Amino acid sequence: MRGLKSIMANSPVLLIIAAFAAVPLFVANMYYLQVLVFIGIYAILALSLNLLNGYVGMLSIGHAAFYAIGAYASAKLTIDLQLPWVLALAGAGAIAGGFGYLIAKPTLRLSGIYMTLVTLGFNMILFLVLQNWMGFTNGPLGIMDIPPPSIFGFALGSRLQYYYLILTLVLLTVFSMHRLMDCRFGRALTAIRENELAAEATGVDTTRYKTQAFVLSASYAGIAGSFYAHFVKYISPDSFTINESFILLAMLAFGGQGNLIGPMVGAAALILIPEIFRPLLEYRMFVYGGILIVMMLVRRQGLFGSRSYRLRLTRFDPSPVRVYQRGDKFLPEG
Amino acid sequence: MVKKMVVTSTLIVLILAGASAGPSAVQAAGGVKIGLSAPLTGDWAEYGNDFKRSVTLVMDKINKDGGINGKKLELVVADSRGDAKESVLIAEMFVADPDIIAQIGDFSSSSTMAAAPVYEQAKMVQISPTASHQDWTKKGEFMFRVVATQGYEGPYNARWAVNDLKKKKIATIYINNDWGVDANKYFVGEARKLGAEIAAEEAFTPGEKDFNAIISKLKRLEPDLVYMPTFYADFTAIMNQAERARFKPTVLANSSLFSVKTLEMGGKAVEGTMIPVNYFSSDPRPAAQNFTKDYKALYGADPNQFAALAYDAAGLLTAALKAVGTDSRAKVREGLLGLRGYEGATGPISYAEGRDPAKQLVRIMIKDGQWVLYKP
Repeated sequence: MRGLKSIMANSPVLLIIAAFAAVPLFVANMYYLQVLVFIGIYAILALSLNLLNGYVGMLSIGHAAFYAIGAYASAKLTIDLQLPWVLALAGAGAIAGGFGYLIAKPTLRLSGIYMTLVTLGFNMILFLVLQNWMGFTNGPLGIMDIPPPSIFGFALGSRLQYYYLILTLVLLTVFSMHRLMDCRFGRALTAIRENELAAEATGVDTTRYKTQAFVLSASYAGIAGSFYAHFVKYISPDSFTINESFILLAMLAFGGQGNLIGPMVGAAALILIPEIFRPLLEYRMFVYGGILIVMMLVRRQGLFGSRSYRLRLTRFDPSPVRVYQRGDKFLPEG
Repeated sequence: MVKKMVVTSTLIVLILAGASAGPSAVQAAGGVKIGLSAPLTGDWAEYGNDFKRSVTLVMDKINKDGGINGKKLELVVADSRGDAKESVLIAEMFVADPDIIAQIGDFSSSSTMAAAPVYEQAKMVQISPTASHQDWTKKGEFMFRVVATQGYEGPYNARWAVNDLKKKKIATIYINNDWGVDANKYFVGEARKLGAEIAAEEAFTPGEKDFNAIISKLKRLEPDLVYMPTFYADFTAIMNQAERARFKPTVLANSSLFSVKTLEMGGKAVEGTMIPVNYFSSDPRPAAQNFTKDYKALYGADPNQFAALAYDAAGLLTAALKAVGTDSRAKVREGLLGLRGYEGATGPISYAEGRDPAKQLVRIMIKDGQWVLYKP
C-alpha cells in the first residue's frame, strides 16, 4: 500500500499509463478506440512541433510536410522495396529527418518571420510535388493497399493492436523527449529560446542546436506519418495540406507549449471537440472555432502553457521537486 | 479568478451538452438505420447538403408508404468535411452501431477510399453517389458506385468528339486531381485509338487562376476541339481568358460543369460548350421527371446531378432492402447485385456486370445562356 502511495506521489505518470493500457478492457465500442488512435497520432505530431515552437521558439508553420514525407516514405519502402514495417518506420523517421536537415541547413541563417515563411513554402511545394509527380507518388490518385504494420513477422490487424502500437509510440516519444529536454541539449534549446544572444555568449553553438532540433522534430513527425499510412492504408496529397499544419499549430495554441503535457492535451482536445459535437452536423465547426476564440481571449498561453511541468519519469525521490519558471533567479537556497 | 471560473464552467457545460445530445438520430423502436457520410461543412459543403436533401426525400417517401417490411427507415447523418481521417472515424462509428445496415457516401474519392477498408471488414455496403476513383470498387466486395466513372465517360466523350463531331486534331486541358487525371487518360486513350491526333495535354493545379500560358500555347496549335475535364470555377476562368485572347475553340467537357454557376460566371464565353450528364432536369425519361417534380415540391429549387445521384444511391439501397429484408448487413450486398430493371433519375442502373454501372448519358449544350438538350 505504501508502495502505491509513493508511486502516486512521485510518479503519477505510471498510473496514467496503466489507465491508458487498461482502456480497451472497459471500452467495447471500437469507435472510441479509433478516436484514441487518432489522438495518439496527433499527440506525436504536436509534440514534435512543440520541440521547435515551444522549446526553441522557432515558429514552423509547415509541419505537415514532414508528416507527409514520413507517410509516403514508409508506404514506398514497404510496397516498392518490400521492407518490413519496423525498418520502414525507422526509414520514414530518417528520411523526414534528412529533409529537415536540408531545410534547416540553409534557412537557419534566416531569423524570425523569414524562416517561418520558408517552412510554409516548403509545405506548399511538397504538396505540389506529391500532387504532380505521377510516376512516384501516383499524384492525386494516392497510394493504395499499404500493408498493415508487421513486427517480426507478426502482422497487426485488429483495432486493439493498433491502439497498443500507437500507445507505445506515444510513450516512446514522450520518454525520449523528456530525456532530451533534461540534458544539456534541452537546456541549450531553452537558453536559445529565452535569449539567443546570451546563449551564444555563454558558449552554446546556437546554429548547431537549432539544426539538430529541426532534424529531430522532422523525424518525429515522419514517424507519426508512417503510422498514419499503415493505419489508414490509403494516402493521398489531400491529407497533408497546409490546413493540417494549421491544425497542429492550433493544438499547441490550445494546449500550451514549452512542456510535454500541453501539446498532448491540445491534440486530444482538438480531435475530441469535432467528434463530441458531431450531432450538431453543419454547426459543429462553429463550436470548434468558438472554443478556440474563447480560449485565446481568456488564456492566451493555452491550457497548460507558460509552466514547465515535471513529469517525474525517472526518479522515485520523495523530496519536493523544485520547479523553475521563467524569470526565476537560479540562486542557491538559504 | 471569477472570470476564469465562468469560462471553465461554460466550456464544461458546452461539452456536456454536446455529449448528452448523443447520437444524432432519435431512437426508433424496431427501425432500421442508414448512415450518410457527406461533407456538410468545408469546401464541398454544397454537395454534401445536396446528398442530405435527396436521401431525406427518399427516406420520407418510403416511410410514408409504410417503411420496409413494416420497419421505419431512419437516417443517421455525419459530417465528414471531405477529410479522409474524419470519414474513417465516421465509418467506425457507423460500423459500431448494430442498427445501421448500410452506408451512403462519401462525396470525394479520397474520403471514400480511406473509409473503404473499415466497411469491407464489417461487411457493410458502402454506396457512393459520386466517388470516381477507378480502383475504389476494386478495394473490396462491398463498394458500389452510382456515378459513371471516367473509365466510361472518357471513352464516351472520345467517341462523341471523333466519330460524331468528326474532329481530328484535339487538345486537352485538365485539372490535376484524381478525377481529372483519369478523365484525361481515358479520353486520350480512346481518341488515339479512333485515329485522332492529340496535339497537347495540359494539366493545371487545382486553385490555379492564370491560364494565359496554356491558352497561348493552344492558340498556336489551332486544335479542332479542346476537351476540358474541369470544374466550373476553372472552366469559366479559362474560357473568359481565352475570349480575351481571341481564342474561340469548339469545347467538349464533362458532367462536372453542369451547374448554373457555369452559365453565370462564363457568360458569352462559354456559349456552345457541350457536355454529357448523368441527369438533366428536362430529361424526358419518367424516373427523372418524377425526381425533379418531387424535389422541387419539397425544396423549391431545381435539383442538380449530385442530388440526382444521391437520390439514386438511396433508391437503389432501399430497393435492395425491400428485396432481401433488413436482418443482415452482408445480405444488402446480394440485394444490390440482384436488382434488375431499376430506373433511376440518372437512367437505368444495374449491378449485374460489376459494381461500376454502365450508364446512359444525356448530351447537353449551352445555347443562349441556357443548358439545353444537345442537337447536332
